[in-house]
Amino acid sequence: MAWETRKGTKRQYYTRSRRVNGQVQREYLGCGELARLSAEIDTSARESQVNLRRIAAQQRLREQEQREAIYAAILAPLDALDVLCRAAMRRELNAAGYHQHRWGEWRKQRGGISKGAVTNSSAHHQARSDENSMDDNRAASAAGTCLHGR
Amino acid sequence: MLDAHPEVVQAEGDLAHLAHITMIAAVASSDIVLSEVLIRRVVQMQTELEGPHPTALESLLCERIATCWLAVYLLDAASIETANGERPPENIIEQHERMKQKAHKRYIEACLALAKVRRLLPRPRR
Repeated sequence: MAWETRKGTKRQYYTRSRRVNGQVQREYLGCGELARLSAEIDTSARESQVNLRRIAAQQRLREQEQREAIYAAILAPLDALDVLCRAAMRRELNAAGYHQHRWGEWRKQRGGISKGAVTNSSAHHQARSDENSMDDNRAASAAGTCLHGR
Repeated sequence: MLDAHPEVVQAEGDLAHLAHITMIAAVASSDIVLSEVLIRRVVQMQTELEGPHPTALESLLCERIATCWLAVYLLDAASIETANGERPPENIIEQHERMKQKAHKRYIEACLALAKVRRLLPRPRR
């Protein structure tokens, strides 16, 4: 869609290009009133498409902001609660004589045995700790299934 | 005046309750019945988890489990349709699924924490 000036003349001619069956076809509309009206219609249609795309983009952005606000409202309270619970749990378990081994399981310190020592009793304690971890997982899964099913 | 009415302090200072109201309002602000039912359900769940004579830590962990359950429920119930009711694009659906998985993971972690505390710190006999 463009106004062209032909060689040897001062007139401007309006042409319109369209893709038909994969091939570009050019339509010549001349230089008169028809050409002028066609140019105005094409410009108006192009502006409408731009406006529609801009409105759709703004709508998508608003919807995304609403979704993110919902996610923040639902998940943000969990952050504060997680921090509080972890701190309280750590305080209580430390007070009861437990320590967290390598950011994993909680182990109770026993007198006379260092943390790094490998003995029969510590190996037995390791096996018991692993069993207890499995018990925790089973108990938690049962609790989760029970609650979710309600 | 506040000293004469401790129930007001209890109600207004209950941050968990305020958080539950905010969470429910984000998804179901227009459905009053559902909001009231969910608030009561969360309290009921926390009471059932605590059992008789819970310690302060157990109460806190049970509150965490109930709050996580509420988050999972609300994300499952939340609608992600576009304004004209059409199915949203795949990336939006994937984002929603990721949020649901995050909430579910936290719910499981909260259950694990309570199980761990109950195993390692048994309640004193009364």
